[in-house]
Amino acid sequence: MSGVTDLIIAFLSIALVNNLVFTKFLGICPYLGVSKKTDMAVGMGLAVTFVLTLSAAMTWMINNLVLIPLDLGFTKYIVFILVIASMVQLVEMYVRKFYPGLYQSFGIFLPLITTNCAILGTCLFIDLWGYGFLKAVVAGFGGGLGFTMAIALMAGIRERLELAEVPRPLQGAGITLVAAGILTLAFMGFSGMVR
Amino acid sequence: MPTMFSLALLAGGYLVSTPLLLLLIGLFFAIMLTIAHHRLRVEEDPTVVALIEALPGANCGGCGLPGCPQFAEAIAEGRAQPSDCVAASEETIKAVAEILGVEATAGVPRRAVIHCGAKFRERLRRPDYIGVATCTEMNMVAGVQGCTYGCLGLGDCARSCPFEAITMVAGLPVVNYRTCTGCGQCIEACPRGIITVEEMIDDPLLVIACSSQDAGKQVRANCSVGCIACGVCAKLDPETCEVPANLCTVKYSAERYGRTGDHEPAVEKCPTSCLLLVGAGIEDPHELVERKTREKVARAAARAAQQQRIAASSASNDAPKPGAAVDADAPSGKEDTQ
Repeated sequence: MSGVTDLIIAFLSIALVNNLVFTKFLGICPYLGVSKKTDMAVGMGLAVTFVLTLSAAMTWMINNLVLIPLDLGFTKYIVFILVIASMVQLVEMYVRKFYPGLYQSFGIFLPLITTNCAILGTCLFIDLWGYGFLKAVVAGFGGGLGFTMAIALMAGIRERLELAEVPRPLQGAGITLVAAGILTLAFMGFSGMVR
Repeated sequence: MPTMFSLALLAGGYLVSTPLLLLLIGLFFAIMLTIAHHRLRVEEDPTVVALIEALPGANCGGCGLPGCPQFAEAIAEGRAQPSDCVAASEETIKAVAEILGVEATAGVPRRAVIHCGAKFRERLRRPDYIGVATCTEMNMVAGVQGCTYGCLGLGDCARSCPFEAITMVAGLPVVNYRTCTGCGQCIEACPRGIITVEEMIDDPLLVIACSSQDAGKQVRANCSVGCIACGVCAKLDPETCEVPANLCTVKYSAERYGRTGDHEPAVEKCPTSCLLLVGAGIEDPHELVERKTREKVARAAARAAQQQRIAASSASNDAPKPGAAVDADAPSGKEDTQ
């Protein structure tokens, strides 16, 4: 398999087949919490994509250049959280200083996702699957886009639900979880296509 | 580095090397963040910070900006006036003015006005609607209500109000003018566009509680309290009321509006009671409709009693003219007979 095909498959694998939200059940808190309006959801999704791509690159380097040579791979859980949180803070400051417009549109979400399980989860999966650096970055980007797609779909459904007459016991969180479940079932159709 | 770790491993194994590594990484990022904090600091205007503290923080968008922080920036830069904040109480505006070091100018408060006065029982030709219980959905169904202009009564506006200032009374939104801030969320929510935000140049304020552009005959068929464009208001109150076509319009200009008492005659004489006075002191503006009906009944009863008395007295004196007793008011009728 050539390098590019490998990268495309890694991308599709994490964006569709092994979607973080639908198959790994990661990042459920923003998925349910920030999916009331489509524009907010897309903003959140893009922020996650951005952070996830950066985190994937950063944690891959820390893991493969520092932790594994020193035989301290078992500390990766703590170290990854530390690295992701510090780096997001750094990026937030940078964006705020030099791109105020960008900060207005998704900077407000950045502090929210420093400890998001989708980010840490993807970084750990990348380590588990033994990806190379380029593949890790592509997988991080794909995971973020998959998350964006999931949260945007959910927001669209929830905007329609606002107009629907929902039975009283199912109103609010109930119907949201039912919708999320059906959406997950739909994405089960992709399972097994790629590993 | 690796040699140091190897030494640490030899000396104490993972027990020493693990904390050492975490300490180093933590220290590295701490130094990075400290440097970044100093190098990338965004100068925040202390006035803006103080203003954000002082503003209501409801983020209602009534000022036309996305939220209170943006509004604070706008007033700090002089792009907006403190009184542009519709949600601020007088104390808040005063506090804001103090931070800015300027004199507070009292703006005219803006409040939501509902241009429909029909409760469920006054809306005629209204078949049962079984569907999604929101006005937006109901408005998509043809023929849900005789009046195609008036309120549908399912309370989209009440749900949209961030200040809970609108309550639904028998299918009609009633604004609580003490809590309403005029932010205009209800205007967006109403699919029929019967809500406007007007400057409360006076309290109570004269309001036309009808939006129907239909001709009088059509209005009568659809509603018992709709404007039939009879023109009585324009005759009694030419300064403020105009009837250009099929609907009375109230002209809100400070010079022409006059004082509260000036509008009482027009309100009293409106045959369908669709001219209302609304304001903070009025619990339910539609009460007037009911009061007028009660008064009409009472007046009829009084007239009947009067006629009886006249009839009784005329039996002993001369016979009165029957037309005069019926047409004229009670005191003048008495004078006529004596």
